[in-house]
Amino acid sequence: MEEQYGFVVAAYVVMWVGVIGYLVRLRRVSRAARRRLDEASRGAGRKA
Amino acid sequence: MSHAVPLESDSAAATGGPGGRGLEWFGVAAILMLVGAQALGLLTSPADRDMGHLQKIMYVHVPAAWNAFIAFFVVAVSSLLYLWKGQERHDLLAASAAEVGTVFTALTLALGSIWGRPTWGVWWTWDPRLTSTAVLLLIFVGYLSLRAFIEDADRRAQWSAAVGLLGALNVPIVYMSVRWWRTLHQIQSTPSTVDPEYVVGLRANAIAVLLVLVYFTMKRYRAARAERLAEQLEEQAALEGRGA
Amino acid sequence: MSSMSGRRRSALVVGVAVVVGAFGFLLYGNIDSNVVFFLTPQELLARGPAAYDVPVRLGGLVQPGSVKWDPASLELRFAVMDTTGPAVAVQSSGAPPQMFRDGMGVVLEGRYRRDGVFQATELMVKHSNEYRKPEHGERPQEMYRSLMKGAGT
Repeated sequence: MEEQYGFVVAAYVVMWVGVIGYLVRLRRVSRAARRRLDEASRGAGRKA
Repeated sequence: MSHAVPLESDSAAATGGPGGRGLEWFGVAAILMLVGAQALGLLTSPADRDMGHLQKIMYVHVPAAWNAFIAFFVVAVSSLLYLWKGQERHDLLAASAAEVGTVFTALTLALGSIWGRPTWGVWWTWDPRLTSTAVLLLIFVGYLSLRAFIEDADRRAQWSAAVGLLGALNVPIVYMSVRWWRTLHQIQSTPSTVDPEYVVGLRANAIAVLLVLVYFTMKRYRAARAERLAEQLEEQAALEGRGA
Repeated sequence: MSSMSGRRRSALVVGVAVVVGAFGFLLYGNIDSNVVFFLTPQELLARGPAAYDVPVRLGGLVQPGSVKWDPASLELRFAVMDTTGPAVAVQSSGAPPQMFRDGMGVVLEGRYRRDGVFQATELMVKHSNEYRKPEHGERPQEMYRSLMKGAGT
């Protein structure tokens, strides 16, 4: 049944949108955290 | 003037040193496992007697639900540990697991909806299983916004631990809802109600999603440590600036 | 840093309100003990005249042999029952979900009319927790198709 395949494909697409979407968010969050930590360490180093 | 780094320094992890690379390889392996498990499930399972090919949605919906439960179990344990010992790393682990658990809960609901439309005939209904799952999602959305809005780290951790525990208490309610109340959602399947052709694919996918969950949580945890470390350095710099 | 700004404090209040509200909804909203998700046919009949013309969900099994489908008018008639006992006649319109068949669990939304027929506005199929491969020679959904075809002619 064609209609069935549509729902199955939709489910797997949603799963991958979720997984890849969160992967992208993780990369962004990790980069931002690293940058913020680098800046904070530099700031602390200047004062020390 | 020297300053103590308040958190145990793990700059290797925070800045993506060798430790970070190991985790990245683990992540690649987890994603490849997920691809393999899905291929296995899709290729080996025959059409179900009642549902036909729609049964294959089981391989994404059920592992997402189970792993959301596991994530919230980690939240519960970490929150308890934080309340007991007051160590920041437990708070950060709870926060990381909560975010990942929220993603998987949202996926569970979305995938269940896609499964429900052709099988049940509706995208959504307010039955106790669906309603309690929606409440679980809402509580953890609340948990995450709570964290984003409390500036003071101690207070953030304490509030979060309380809300995280309260939220995780919902997991057994969600799990038992299909037995306690009348629902449209069926009760749990067991290996005796599922033919072996489907059990293999389900288990493979559950394990693969578990590995993805572990990767997500660890990766988020490292970022959370780096964020917290930066936050502490900034606070210190601000204090010293004021003192000078 | 120990005190929060007003904006953050109000955001915190909102966050807590969402959490508490969600809990309240869970405990006292939909899942309150005196509001079940659906009534069984026996429970509906036991209500007597009080059951007429109020929106209600009815859940039960499709009585074997009761399904009548008219492809021209898209009218679907069948009866639901508890595992045993009296059945309630149901009228619904539109093709049911593919898993609909004799003996299947269904949950209906609608009203019980004074003429003793339950007018369903929504038909939901309740799946069991069983997943079985087709037996040898059996093709999935054939039962549904033959049922809908046979019932129409």
